[in-house]
Amino acid sequence: MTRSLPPNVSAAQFDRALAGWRAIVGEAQVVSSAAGLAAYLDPFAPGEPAAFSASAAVLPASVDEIRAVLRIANEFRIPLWTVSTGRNFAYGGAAPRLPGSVVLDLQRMNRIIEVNETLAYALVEPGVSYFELHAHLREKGYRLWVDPPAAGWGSVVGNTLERGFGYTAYGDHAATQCGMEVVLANGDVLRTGMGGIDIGTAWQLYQPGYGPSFDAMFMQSNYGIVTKLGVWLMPAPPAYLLGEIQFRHEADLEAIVDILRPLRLDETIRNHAVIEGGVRRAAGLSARAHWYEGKGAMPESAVTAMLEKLNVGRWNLHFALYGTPELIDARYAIVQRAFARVPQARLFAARYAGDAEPTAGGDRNLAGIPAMSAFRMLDWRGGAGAHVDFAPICPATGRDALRQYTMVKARAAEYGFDYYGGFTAGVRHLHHIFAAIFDRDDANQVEQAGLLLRSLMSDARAAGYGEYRAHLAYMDLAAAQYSFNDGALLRLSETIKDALDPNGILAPGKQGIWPAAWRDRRGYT
Amino acid sequence: MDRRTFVLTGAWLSTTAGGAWPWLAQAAARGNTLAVVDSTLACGPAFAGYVARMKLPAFDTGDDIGALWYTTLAPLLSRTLAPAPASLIGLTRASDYFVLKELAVRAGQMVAHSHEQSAGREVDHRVDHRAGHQAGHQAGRDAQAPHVAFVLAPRAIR
Repeated sequence: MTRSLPPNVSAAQFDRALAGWRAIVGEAQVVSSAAGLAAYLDPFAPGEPAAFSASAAVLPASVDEIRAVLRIANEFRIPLWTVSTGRNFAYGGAAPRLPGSVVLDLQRMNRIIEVNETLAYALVEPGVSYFELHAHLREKGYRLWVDPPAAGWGSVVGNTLERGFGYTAYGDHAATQCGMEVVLANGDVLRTGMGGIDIGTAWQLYQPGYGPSFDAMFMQSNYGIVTKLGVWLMPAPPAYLLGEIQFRHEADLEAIVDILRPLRLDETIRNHAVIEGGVRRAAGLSARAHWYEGKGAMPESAVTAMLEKLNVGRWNLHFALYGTPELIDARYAIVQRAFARVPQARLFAARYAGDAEPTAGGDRNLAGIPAMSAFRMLDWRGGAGAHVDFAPICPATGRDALRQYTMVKARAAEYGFDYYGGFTAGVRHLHHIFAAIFDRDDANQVEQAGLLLRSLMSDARAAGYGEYRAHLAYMDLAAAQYSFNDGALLRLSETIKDALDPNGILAPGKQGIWPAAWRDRRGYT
Repeated sequence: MDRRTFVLTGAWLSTTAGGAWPWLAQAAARGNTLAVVDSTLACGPAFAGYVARMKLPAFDTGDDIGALWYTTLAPLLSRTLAPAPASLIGLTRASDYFVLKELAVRAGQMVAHSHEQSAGREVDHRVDHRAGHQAGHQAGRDAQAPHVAFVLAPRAIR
């Protein structure tokens, strides 16, 4: 097998770099065998996984080791691709955008540095998962909740930097982040905001600090390596209610969004409520083959029969109310009244004491408990399940939601995919997430998934929508779609990139931002 | 389970587990091995009976394989690191196996041998993070419910 090398680096130079890194982090913490590197391939690649393969992986255990690793990367002009735990599946996993990059895997930096119950925050390193932070809080008896994304094994730092979201009132992870420690490409270490006062105590309390604020600049970017991150935690409520409203008709989506929006704006519903499509809801209860085994997307008749048999809605709104029983009662009455005007809507609700735990995975997420049950989606289509996600931002209006849904569903069917998706409600926007589920051992399905994603992105852009997150294969296209004034935004991003990282060693191509040294590697736009 | 039933079950499992069977049987016989089983699968009860006969600690996947890993399996596996590291054998649905494998193999501690079986195909795999190799091959047909039989073994014991 041909050895993978970083671009423009000879085998001899790479050997010297590897030897240098081994001296820094230890022999066992540098991965360069083909077998070892297989773990850094994207198992869900909507194409050939080797298209985004790494040449090595280095696993530092401290900031000092990262700085030493950077010195060698700068010396040999070797691009590094930073991952926290490398589980950004559906968007590329641990794989680098530029083939031949060396993965800087931060999973060994896994300390929970501080939890402050009074001020409700934690300071963590990149290797800490939501499961681990949750377990720590429970073990130590802190009355605080994490806000887990659908896959609780993800890194708190990684998910936040990718602007992931969860389902409680703290669901907007970028908005509940406060304070970072960052290593720049030249090895300089900085702390953002109030962290600039090295004996200070407000680093995790007030994000801006003094002067320009930079936290957001290190999200979905390649400007630095985030080694510590503060997250605000939700005080455990005295009680909560988890509700589900099932809606019978496809067109109900418009009413759902238009009723939900004012409830989010006035904070009657404070959590990231989820409007879950019928197929996604059904997938948690059964396998596709039970309902349909033909080719292509499930026909409407099969979907309708399945939903009726499983007794779930075409749309299923999941929401949560947190607080004292009196507050919950008042808010619940408002929610009931608001949705009562949708014909045939059915409302279910369960009340919990603050320390009680629901059993189902989705419900557990709403109660601040990490889960992995969302991965059962891989079984929906059978075979070696995989998925790649299309994630456009949708204005929180019924018209836009119905428009995006109709557009995505029709295009997905054209390529042989079911509409497996839903909308997670911010306040003024919705995250529309559609998953193209495919069997990764079926070359045709893999190819169709890849083509579908490209079509969806083009359709969405033509209608004035853009993605908030994209798989490696589509990062350049997604960035190019933000094209106002001939791409002024990307020009700014790349100007900053060149200033901070003149050798272009940090994550070239991430989010479509290419340093001057690798700008000719930009892909399909 | 009497001896005859046990032998028959073993023979049936060797088919169910396909190419992973030698590794699975070896790990089961070694002791210091944990077992995970999805009792909702058609072949789950037979596998559960087998691990009971082998006197292995067994855990049902339940609704959330991630919770099982973080709260139960990972602590048990890390506690049994010395003197002989523990292995994990199992029979689960494909999605749960994917999650378990990622958790165990990416940490660099284990190699995976697995056998996927779903309608129309069988596939054997070996995955070894950092040291070994990865391989897979297609075999005949089977119409049983989809499942994966697997072994996650410490890298030192192969």
